[in-house]
Amino acid sequence: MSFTWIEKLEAEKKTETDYRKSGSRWEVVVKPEQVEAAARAAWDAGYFIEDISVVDLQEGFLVVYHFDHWQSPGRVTFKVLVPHEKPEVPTISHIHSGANWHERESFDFFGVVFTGHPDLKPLLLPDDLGFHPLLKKPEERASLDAIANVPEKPQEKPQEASGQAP
Amino acid sequence: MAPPDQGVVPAVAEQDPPLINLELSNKFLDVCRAMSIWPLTFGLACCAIEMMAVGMARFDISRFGAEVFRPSPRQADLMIVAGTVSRKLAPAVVRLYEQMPAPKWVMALGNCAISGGPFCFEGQYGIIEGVDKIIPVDVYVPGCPPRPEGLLEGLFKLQEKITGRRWWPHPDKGLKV
Amino acid sequence: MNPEQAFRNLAGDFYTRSLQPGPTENTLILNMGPQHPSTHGVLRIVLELDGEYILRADPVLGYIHRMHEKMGEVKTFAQYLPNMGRVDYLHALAWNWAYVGAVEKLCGVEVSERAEYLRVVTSEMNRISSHFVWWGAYLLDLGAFTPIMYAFDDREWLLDLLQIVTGSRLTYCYFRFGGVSDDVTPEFVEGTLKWCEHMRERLPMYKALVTDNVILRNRCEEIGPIDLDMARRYGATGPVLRGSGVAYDVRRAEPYSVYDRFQFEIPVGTGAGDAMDRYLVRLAEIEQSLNIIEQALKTLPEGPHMHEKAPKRLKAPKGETYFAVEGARGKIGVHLLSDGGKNPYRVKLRAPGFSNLSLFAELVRGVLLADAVSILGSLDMVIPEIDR
Repeated sequence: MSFTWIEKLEAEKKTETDYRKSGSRWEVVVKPEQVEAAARAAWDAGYFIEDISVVDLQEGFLVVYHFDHWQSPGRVTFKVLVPHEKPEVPTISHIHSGANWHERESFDFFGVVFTGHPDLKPLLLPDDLGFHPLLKKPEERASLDAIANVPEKPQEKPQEASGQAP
Repeated sequence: MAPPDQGVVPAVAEQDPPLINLELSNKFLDVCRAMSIWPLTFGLACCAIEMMAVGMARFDISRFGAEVFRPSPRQADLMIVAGTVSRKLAPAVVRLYEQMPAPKWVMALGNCAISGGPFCFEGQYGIIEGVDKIIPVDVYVPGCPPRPEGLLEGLFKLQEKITGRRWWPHPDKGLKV
Repeated sequence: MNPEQAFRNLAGDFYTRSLQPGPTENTLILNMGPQHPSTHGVLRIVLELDGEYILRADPVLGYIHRMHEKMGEVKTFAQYLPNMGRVDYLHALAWNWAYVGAVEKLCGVEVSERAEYLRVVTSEMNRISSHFVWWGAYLLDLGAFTPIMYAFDDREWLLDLLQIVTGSRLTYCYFRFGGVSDDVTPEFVEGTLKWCEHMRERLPMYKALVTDNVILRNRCEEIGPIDLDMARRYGATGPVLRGSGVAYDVRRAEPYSVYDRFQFEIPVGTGAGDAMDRYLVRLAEIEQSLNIIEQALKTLPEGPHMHEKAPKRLKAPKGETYFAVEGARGKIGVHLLSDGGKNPYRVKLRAPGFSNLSLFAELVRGVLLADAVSILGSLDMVIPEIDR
């Protein structure tokens, strides 16, 4: 399983994570403007979009993209942190069509706007609900370090082949 | 009916009296109606599968005359609300109830239709806690999901409500009706 | 009804109006659902029809949105278990497994070996019962009223067996953190093995009665072909993907529990990925599940049904994890984040039906309405899973 496509990506931070504990092989933190290039690289490398979810944290909204592969499975996670006041991320629905609905759902629940999305209307909620239900109150939000501390792949173990049972 | 849910207009619940309103003809027609109730296929969630199971060979609602599930409300007289009614669906439920011709009855199948079921929690924003907030309910069948025998007992209770007596043996009383 | 309300009803609602822009000269906007006779659940599809051909289709969801992800934050880890049985009630044990597996992975809880085998057996039995409901309901949509009777009859025997061990018929809540809630009796083991034998004799009858039927062939062959590009773009998994020829199964790709000890094949479609391929894949999966159940029951190890060190009160550390299982409809994923409190911080449920349905709009362009019904049935959806 070669992850050279990740090494070529422009990103803020790349971590090879412990697959047994976190379920993901790589975690790549990107800036909003790098999301589209990352999604295109994932598509060219043969990945499909698994899901897009949002976590409401003190520092902002953490938009988490999960990608996986048919032939060489091993989840890859992309994370984007956007501030609460301006929660905008470029859409990837023109590359991965499945992201269309995932982004609509994220907008429904959190109010994260995906710029360039063809049709960002409510998906799961009534169109007249008037609020985003999964937002947390400011005092309930946790900090990024507390939550998303995905354990790094331990260095002393040799490089494992893919398909290892978790 | 329970106090209405804010934001959803409850159904118009009055049913006009029949054209020929004689006691004897009413009693006779009530027995005919009770023995051939036509349910509306209104399975919303998990309870719908138990409703399907009741129509199948093992539990066989056809023994009691009610196997003709109609997809159109204009041809049905029993609306079995099987599942959770969400706020988005509530206007459609009201409209379907109003489209059914009288005499019509409603069975609330499962805890969600009775009172919101396992989906009531503080701060819930999406469901109607009990379908009787929007349409008048005649029989409540509790369970999550209720066994198909429960649905059948609910049907018998409805027949008792329509005709005034229970027609089938009670499970605890042997074969005596 | 006052005139203003009546006029608003004529103009359609938000979703019908949002389909309006476009050339709608000689076309008809038709709502399929949210109440319609096929029993997939509460799905509404706003269709733009030119005669019987579909020009555009826009599925509208949310009519059974039951706030599962919000409840994940409001309930404690253990209180959330019954919810998982109700997300996709037809394969409830797979959702149970996905959530319990995610929590166990996050908290480092081990599962006893006997419990792993019991999880495999009950989950595969649940998969078979889900495929029976799919089969019966799909044929009912196509107009065949008899096969559903046979399917539900065999399913009732299966549900009786599962009721002995789990206590429920439909919305199971059998798995616990560290094992399962109850051990099995010898009655269950013998009964299930006998049922597996009976099913092997019945499956050829299903094939002769239905699969080789010329009407079914005409209604399923060359209907709704999904090519690999479309499947990958939308993230389709499960029989929808395997019907198009890709042998991707989470039980092999990201093996969990003890699946690597059993011999089973991954059936794939050999044609263009049409409805018939998906149909044949699911029927072949029933047979493979029977293999797994028999192997697991014959090699069931002794031991406790809950691990000795399973926590009485779960203390979740801070962190996040992702766990995926193979459900009857595809890859079920649970992305769990915890901040060390009693409740999860965020539970994201990845429903396979969500991704599978998202390709419906593109798939039915230019297709006859009756064929769209066949395509919808072949995708095997349970709408509460999509709406969560």
